Amino acid sequence: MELDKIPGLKEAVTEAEGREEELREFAFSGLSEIICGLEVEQLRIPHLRTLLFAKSPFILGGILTAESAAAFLWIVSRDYRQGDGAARDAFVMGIGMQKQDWIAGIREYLNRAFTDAPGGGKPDGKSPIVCMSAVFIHRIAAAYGWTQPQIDAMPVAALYQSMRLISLDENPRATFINRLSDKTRWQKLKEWKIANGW
Amino acid sequence: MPTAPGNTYNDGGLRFGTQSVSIDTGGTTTGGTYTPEMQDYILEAFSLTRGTNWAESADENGVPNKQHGRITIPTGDATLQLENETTKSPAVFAEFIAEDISGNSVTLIVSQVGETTGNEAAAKVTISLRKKINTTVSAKKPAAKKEV
Repeated sequence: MELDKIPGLKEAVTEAEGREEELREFAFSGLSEIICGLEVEQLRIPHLRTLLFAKSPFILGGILTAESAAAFLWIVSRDYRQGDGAARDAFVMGIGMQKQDWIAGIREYLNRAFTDAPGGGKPDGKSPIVCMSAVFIHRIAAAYGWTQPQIDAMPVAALYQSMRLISLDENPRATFINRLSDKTRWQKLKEWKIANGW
Repeated sequence: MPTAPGNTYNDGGLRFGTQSVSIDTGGTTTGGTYTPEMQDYILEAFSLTRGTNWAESADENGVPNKQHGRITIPTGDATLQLENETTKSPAVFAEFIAEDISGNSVTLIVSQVGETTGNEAAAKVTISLRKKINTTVSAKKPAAKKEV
């Protein structure tokens, strides 16, 4: 059956698509992100590199602690200066939130940044041959002629959108996941089926 | 879309809106009886296109002097949304019924299935389709589902 015939589905999907559009435009806006009221930068590749070196469980997985949340916020903050322990301590002292607020806020921030990240296929058992930075630089430099500093300056949420278009140029049959609207479509269909005894 | 008597289409293609479909993922045969394993999917909007094949002949100078064209079977690519990454993809050669934008039921055959891609939010797979020809009312449809 046509999904548009399901009451409320079209409206819910349109709303989700609107939210996706906002997130996508925001990535190119140059505006700051907010995590629990704290102004931070939009996530860029240099942040990811630093978080990786710091072994952040928000990136690598693992137990999320107040310390790891504070370290994450420091790295993406506008005040971040590499190796400046005094500035870091002052920053951590200054943020007065509860651990659970931090963790939830950082997760939402990462969800926004990775909205258009590619979906994974089935694991093929092969080890990665390059790091994520190399993939971004290779694909975007080849397509647009950008330099590494230019790519590093762009939020990953913007880079992922560019990567989608590059993939589409290479393969018109490429498939993309719209995390909000696709999920909403399934949820509404399931709700309708349950309500109608399917 | 204009239709000719007998529900055959006389223009170049068939358009389909996003819809819920049920397709066999490859069932089991017991005692000579095949039992399909049906799976629900969201079939995203797509089109089937119909082309032509041409045979040409030429005179002794190689200049074409005859041609004969035949309409080909409508084919196309579509994206299926799966419930999640572990949902089975449809089986190649599986048949199912979809509704075109005019509300006509069209029997389609899955001719190719791509690799599933997905994340925690959704999963998708690209498939290729062919319109089934010489259909009567033979398309497989899960008996447990009711028509809406």
